[in-house]
Amino acid sequence: MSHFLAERFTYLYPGAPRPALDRVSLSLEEGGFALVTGPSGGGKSTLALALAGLVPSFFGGTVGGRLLFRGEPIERIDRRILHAEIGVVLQDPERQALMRRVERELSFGPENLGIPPAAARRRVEEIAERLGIQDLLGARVDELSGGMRQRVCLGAAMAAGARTLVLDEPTSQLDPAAAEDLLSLLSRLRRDLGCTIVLVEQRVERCLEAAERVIYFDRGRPRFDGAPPEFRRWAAEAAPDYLPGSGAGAPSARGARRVVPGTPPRPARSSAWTASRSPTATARPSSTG
Amino acid sequence: MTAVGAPPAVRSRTAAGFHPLAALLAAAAVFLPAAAWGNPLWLGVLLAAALAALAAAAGPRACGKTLSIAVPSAVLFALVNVLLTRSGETVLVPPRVLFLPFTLRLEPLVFGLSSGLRIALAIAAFSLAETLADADGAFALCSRFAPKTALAVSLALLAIPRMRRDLGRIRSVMAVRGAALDDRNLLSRINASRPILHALLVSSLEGAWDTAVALQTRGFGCGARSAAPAPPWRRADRVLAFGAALSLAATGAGLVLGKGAFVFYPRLGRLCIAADLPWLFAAAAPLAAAVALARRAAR
Repeated sequence: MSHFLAERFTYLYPGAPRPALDRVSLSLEEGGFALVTGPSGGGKSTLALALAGLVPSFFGGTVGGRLLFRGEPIERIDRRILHAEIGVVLQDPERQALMRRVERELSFGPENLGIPPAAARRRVEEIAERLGIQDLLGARVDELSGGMRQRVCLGAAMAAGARTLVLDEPTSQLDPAAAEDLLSLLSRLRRDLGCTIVLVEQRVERCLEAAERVIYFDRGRPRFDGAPPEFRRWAAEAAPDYLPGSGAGAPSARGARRVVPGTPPRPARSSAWTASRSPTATARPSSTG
Repeated sequence: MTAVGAPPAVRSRTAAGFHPLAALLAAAAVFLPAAAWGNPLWLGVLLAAALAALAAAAGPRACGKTLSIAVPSAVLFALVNVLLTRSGETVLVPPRVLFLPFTLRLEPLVFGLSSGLRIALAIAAFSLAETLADADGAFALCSRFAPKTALAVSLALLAIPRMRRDLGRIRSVMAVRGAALDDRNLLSRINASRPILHALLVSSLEGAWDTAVALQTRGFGCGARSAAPAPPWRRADRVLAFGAALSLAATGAGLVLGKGAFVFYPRLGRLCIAADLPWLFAAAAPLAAAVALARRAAR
């Protein structure tokens, strides 16, 4: 069973003339690390919100098609269960912090789920140790560096037990070293805990090493879906401005996959994540299209 | 279990606040008389005691910050009341003398001053609560009874320093872009500040949106929540709570006996009645003394 399965999933923000997500068909398997990228306004952040169960329940608007989480329509899943399963990290660590001290920030989610204080405290200690912030539990969130704050946000997202992480541009406000640190932490969480990671990023160069699958969104649809080396080759031809340096020395674009609406995609090789076999998408060498 | 990627050394500080219940009692000992008393002399003395308590708790700077908000608010209230109220028999300045287009009377001036002092006391009460209590602890305590209200207050208090930081950042950006923020001409400065307010408003609204998303994704409001147990009572907490309770008891008993009330119209009543002063002392002094003693005990 797919972890996430989108079948011709369409979403329009309230009052918007065009859909932010336009008949998206994707299948994401458990334990994978997908990098969702693309130009601004392409629909990648909206996809993250949808995977977090926030559309249309929180943002309003209109949906079409289906979006399933573990086989169930995501909008029908109880919010408590959803929160215990899916953790969300946003762009700005300062604005998503709800408490002043790290320990309280981490325990906020478990308390919302009604987890007894002793068990909540154990979870907080476990996740703090896992993320290497156990010495900061008494610290004020606003006194931490950007990288540490983002770790705290990650811990807050995971403290209730979530092992599926949806991250919307979490490195955009971090310096390169802190961004590398966060990406390496995500890779280790995936390896050690089997976390499923959906990372939305615009600056992809530093994320390609960590990801095993890249989905390029533009105008509300996935235009490419494949492994990072194939993405480099594809980007060299199809979006040379998007991935600087992708053209220089990049292997031939022959063999790279491009998702075009209308025909089914080719499954990804050596990946726990598979592209949808929906008849709405296809894969073919970009050199031909 | 192994730590993933050891973090760099970060300045760490453990919670040093008082027990949230003790801190809330201290704030109530300022807020309750501020709401109930009318005598401007009493309100002034209480404000002095609250500021002394603030200074004892967090130093003179905290006191100055509170005054910088409280004094303009108090003056504004006093002026507005003078402009709008026509009651009162004691004429200070007749119309068209000193270029005033209205009669300046003593009673509305004192009433406005009294209202301004109440506002200043309310601000001091909030400052005292925030200074004395660990705000997260206060949220944990209050969220047992009213989680949404407690969270709204907690987030509002959290938003103020954030907005201050945002303002600083926006000002820096505008200054780099050549905005005349330090121009000698007041009108130029006001004109240059307008885009800053716009940017601050947009940034705050975006921040509120992110905060709402964070609340939603972390399951707030989706059912009964648990709460961390309240911290244990220390000697310092008990001292603070005892002093605040004494102040509250004196205020309550005094109110039952009509102490602290004041007649403004048509003529001002007696500002100072010697027989009532022990009540004023009993309401104001224990709080200030308790904060000072508790602070010392906490060290």
